[in-house]
Amino acid sequence: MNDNSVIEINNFTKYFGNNCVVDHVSFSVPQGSIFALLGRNGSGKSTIIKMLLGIIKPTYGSASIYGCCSSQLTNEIRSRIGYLAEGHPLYSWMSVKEICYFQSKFYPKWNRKLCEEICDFFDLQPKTKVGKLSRGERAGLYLALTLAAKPDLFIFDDPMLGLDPVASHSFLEMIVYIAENHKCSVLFSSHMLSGVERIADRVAVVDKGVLRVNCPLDTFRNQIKQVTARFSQLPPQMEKLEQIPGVLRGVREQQHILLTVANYNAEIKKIIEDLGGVDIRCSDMPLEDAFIDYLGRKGMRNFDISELGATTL
Amino acid sequence: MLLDIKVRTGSAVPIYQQIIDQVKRAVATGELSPGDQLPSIRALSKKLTINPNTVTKAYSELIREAVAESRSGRGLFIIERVQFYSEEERLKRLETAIDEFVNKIALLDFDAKDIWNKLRVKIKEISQRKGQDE
Repeated sequence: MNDNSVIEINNFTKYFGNNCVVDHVSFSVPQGSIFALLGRNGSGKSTIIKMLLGIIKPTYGSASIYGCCSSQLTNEIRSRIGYLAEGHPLYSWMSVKEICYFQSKFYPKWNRKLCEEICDFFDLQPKTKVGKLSRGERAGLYLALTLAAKPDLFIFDDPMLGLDPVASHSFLEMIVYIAENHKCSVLFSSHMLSGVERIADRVAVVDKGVLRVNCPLDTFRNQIKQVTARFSQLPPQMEKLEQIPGVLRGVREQQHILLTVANYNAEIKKIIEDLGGVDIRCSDMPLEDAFIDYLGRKGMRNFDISELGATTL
Repeated sequence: MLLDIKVRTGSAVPIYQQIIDQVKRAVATGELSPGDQLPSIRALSKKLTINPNTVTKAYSELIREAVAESRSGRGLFIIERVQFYSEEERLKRLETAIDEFVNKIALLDFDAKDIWNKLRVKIKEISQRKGQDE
């Protein structure tokens, strides 16, 4: 247990029937951080968030928010959490005005002015029924409802889904605004890596229910490199290259190879040299490419990812 | 002095490094001079829509490399440049930079002569600037 964290997750595991969707996931979210939860569709992100909020029960494992167990969150703790659910579900029969009023009653620190401002920003008419809103408008309304509650902890499940580029940018601006006040913490899941690159300071990556990365964003980027090498004759076969520890992806072309490598170091360089590689160069790569290569061809190889902070079983 | 820092996502260069590079470049070309103030962490993070910690990281590195100094309560200022690296480190960095440059231009099919001419102009810009300062 870390005194400095607002969220602690220990061995979260969830089976739906025989299907394990979350597998021994543990991580904590430090106070004041902007924590991005990444993973492909169906990787278990939403299930983790729902278990964290006590909405569904883990098969085993536990979690706490502000030291309070997820399965027994008090109203006081709940009022400090702003949760934006995936797909922005809302009561469709209420009007915009009604739902704002309804929501305000659950949160003692409700900021009516802020709620109205955000509704204005998204051009929402008070009398419109929620059911008649477009996807983007509903996302905007949900954002207003979440932010106006003035929570200490924001949990956003795919907040930028359905937002156009301008609205997404406004959302990021709001997160930067939240981040200035170091008392607030943010946990969000997303597929929009350009947004993650702008605002996240930590990332966790889940793949098929397993936590594969948990570290500062810069560490993730630092540990995944693109390595090129030249060979005097044909480069070794793909199988040979894939045996090199840490190799996530390889491309062979004429006398060159291009590898994406996790935890690149002198040892790996030596292996490439021993295979006959010369002019070995290592460079940084874009976050999106690193992410795709990291998750793209899963299950082909084992490598030690302990440096990226993932739990190994 | 107003330096228009811009960042790009989706680049191989992390955002904090983009900030460092632009400030250093502005110092090298004279766009920024000793005594010029950099935007506050809050202002820059807002303007660029990035995590304030990213700006903090870039600024710490600029301080560490003696490009700028923090004056208590007033912000970050560009300072007179002193050589901060050891001879060995300077050489290493020069070689890395040249490698990157050569890699980038290798496939552009320019004549060596054209490259030399363009390079000469750029390097002259930097050294002239230095001459003026001294």
